[in-house]
Amino acid sequence: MTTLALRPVATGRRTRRRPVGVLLATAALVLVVLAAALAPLLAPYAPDAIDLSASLAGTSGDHLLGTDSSGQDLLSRVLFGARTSLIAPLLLLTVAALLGVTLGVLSAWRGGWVDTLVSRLTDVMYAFPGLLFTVLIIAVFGTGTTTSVLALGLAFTPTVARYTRSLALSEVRKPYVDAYRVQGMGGTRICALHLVPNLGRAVLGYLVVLFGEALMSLATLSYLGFGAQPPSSDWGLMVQEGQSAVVQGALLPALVPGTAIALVVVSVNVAGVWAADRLGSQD
Amino acid sequence: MTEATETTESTETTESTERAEATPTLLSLEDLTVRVPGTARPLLDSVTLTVAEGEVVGLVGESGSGKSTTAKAALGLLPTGASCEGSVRVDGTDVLRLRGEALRTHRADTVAMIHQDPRATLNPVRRIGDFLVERGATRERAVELLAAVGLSDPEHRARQRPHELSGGMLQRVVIAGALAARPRLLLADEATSALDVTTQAEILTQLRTAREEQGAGLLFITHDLHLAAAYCDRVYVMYAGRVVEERTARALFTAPAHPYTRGLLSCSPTLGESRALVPIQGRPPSLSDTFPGCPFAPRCGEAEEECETWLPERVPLEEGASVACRVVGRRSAGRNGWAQPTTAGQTKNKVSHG
Amino acid sequence: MTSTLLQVESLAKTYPLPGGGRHTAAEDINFTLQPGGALGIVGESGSGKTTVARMLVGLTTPDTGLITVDGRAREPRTPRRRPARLTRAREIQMVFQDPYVSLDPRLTADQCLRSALRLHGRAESLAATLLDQVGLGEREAGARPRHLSGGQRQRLAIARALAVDPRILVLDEAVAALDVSIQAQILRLLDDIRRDTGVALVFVSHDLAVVQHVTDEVLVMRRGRTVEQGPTRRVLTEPSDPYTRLLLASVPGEGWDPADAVAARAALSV
Repeated sequence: MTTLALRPVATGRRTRRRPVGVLLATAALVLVVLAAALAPLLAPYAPDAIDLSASLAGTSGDHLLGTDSSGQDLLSRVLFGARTSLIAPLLLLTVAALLGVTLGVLSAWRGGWVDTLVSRLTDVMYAFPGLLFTVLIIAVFGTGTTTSVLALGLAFTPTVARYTRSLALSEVRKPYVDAYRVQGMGGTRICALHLVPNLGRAVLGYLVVLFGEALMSLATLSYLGFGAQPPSSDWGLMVQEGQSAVVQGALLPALVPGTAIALVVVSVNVAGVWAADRLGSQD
Repeated sequence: MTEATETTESTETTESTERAEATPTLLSLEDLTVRVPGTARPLLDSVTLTVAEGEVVGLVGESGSGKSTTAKAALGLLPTGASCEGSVRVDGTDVLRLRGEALRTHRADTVAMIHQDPRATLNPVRRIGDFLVERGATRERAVELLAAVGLSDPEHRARQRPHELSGGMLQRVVIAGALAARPRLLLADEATSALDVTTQAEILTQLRTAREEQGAGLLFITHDLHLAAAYCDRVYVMYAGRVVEERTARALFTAPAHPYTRGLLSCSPTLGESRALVPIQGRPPSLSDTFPGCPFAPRCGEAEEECETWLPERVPLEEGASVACRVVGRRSAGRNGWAQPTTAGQTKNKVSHG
Repeated sequence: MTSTLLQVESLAKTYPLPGGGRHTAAEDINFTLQPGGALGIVGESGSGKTTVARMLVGLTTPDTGLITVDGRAREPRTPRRRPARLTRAREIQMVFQDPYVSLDPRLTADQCLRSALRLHGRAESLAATLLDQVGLGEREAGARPRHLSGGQRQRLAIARALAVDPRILVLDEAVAALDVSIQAQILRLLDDIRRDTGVALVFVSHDLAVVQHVTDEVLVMRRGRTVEQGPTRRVLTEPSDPYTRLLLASVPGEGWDPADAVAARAALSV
């Protein structure tokens, strides 16, 4: 009994120590977010300012990170690109969270045929490669950032639904839920006001971990030409545009956005896994 | 004040051990104080306790009283980051100084602990028989042990895995495992608390027989004062990391001395008695509560003003028993000759507020 | 005294077993409870006492049987319509064994009570009265369950049940997880509440001594069936069933010998 009482003290101490990697990752993320927010102030040029005379210029005082084949300043494009590249995955995850949490909780709460139906549905969606599924939707509804966000949001839904269902299944069995039932509270109200908020932390932690994957998937779509369309400064699109420059010997147009993607994905994963552990284990 | 207390206590300890010298002491904790960083008070505060060979000693207290910490100390197991004063001796060996192989041998052969949750002890993928063999029994003896703790069809049980047995059966297996190494000292930490009363009675009967055969000492930890008093030879009552009373089991029922012990008895519902319960006010102290004086004073109905500032000293009672209470100590000193203060320091205290 | 508050008739529940067949969790359970009375349901694990408690509050749907409160039969399933649900909730409330997991971890004591009061259309200002009634102060009112002690949590759980103003309170091992000194406080609190509000208690427990203290009538269950029932005093002093005798012989006390219980067990299996 005494040891039980001691445990929080011990973990409380451990929580405060952040590994160096996490610190670096957090710093990188803060910088990227600042860059995105302050892009109009920081960027030396407009992201879509074409200067064909400066096509494929290397690093110089005028263009710190060089230019692409249209002579657009890469630094300015990458700064502005940070905006779509960060916001789009957030929107995507919001869609996936809304649908996934609803389905997961519904499935766990109702059980029976509802649970079977939702589970089989997610199984079917799992059987499809996510990208194929997304491309299918885009083929029907047309290319563009909005469609790809919605399509990928749908593609991410089964993952979130499955995770939420597993959490909700054990949460539903907790006596506090029984206590609300005995009080005469309706199922919808228990789920919305009490069950979901109690799952919130854990689900949020999981979404943080999914962020990197969401960003990569969106970049992939843009790279394939299904996502953001020119003249957008989306990083995935920039990599695709920079690809032809590589053949001409200029690495920067592909390298700069590529590095930006890698930096954010790695940082989010390092800091996110750490944060998700803390979020999930706070009970 | 503190110095005086220490001298008094050590003198008394020597006396009481001498008195109980008929059978040699197996486990002896002397003035054990255990502190961990981040808590306001020590987990254990000057705990002095003995278990003689073949003796059954009860350790009673509510949550946070330090009973489990005391038992673990006998295994040489202290919480991480703990600092301690005093000594823990098992069979003359200072357990807290043991390291490496010697400590392993101590934990494997000399002492065995039985926890409340048998599933925490048993490896779910290993067979019951293997569990006993791991602890030094031969195949044949494993079956004998299983029969001795009251499991039917022991040959079959030895081939089963933990998930195939009920909680009560598993606890029997754990007890068989504890007996397998023929330990000198058994530590039972709420070993039967999670079980049904009828199962508890059966297991305790078997534990008693098996233990008597091996002549092992038993430190029996429980929150149930009635159980401890009925099952043990002697009982220690703990509160907030301190031993507040040490009595023979019989005396605990008939003449409880410490206000806390009396409080526990009068707030536990008793079969066949229809008296009204008298709850003890307040709650058991947590590790963040500190006390300048007697830790029980805030909940005690008999506390006087001084109790809140004076640390109670252990006052000897009959038959090597003792109680740590200012008020009771003074009363019995006034009534009887045998509890006269033994040191100058104590005399001075008595005079100063007597 | 002729008015019966709660009447339970031939209540039964079985569960399918994985290998086919059915496990009888409760069978042919009958009892009545007067207004303001206290009935104990005693048994060991697997006796079906918790199943009976859950059927009473509607968390488990009985296979057969009838539960009547004030002469009105309770629907076996939770009604879909809100007014019916709330009326039903005001008949019977429940206090669970582990107060830590039976309280919403996110809500403070005050919020917890307010949410129950609001649901039943009662004045939210009653929260303070309820907290006072169960002996919780202002500091506890603003605390989440994590920052309350075991006893305080159970007091809050009792207050939450009372917030609905029920006729009957079902307590399922409600003091089992508490320290002895706290257990006595809660038992005293239940005495007071019963006297002050006239709420009737169904007290489910494995602890005979506690049941003796709280209840007037008792029902002893074993393997889903009632083995003995009657006035608590009579059943616990002159038990007629060998199983009740075994239970009594197993309770430690002054002069107790566990071997007596083993002898009683032997008498039972013969």
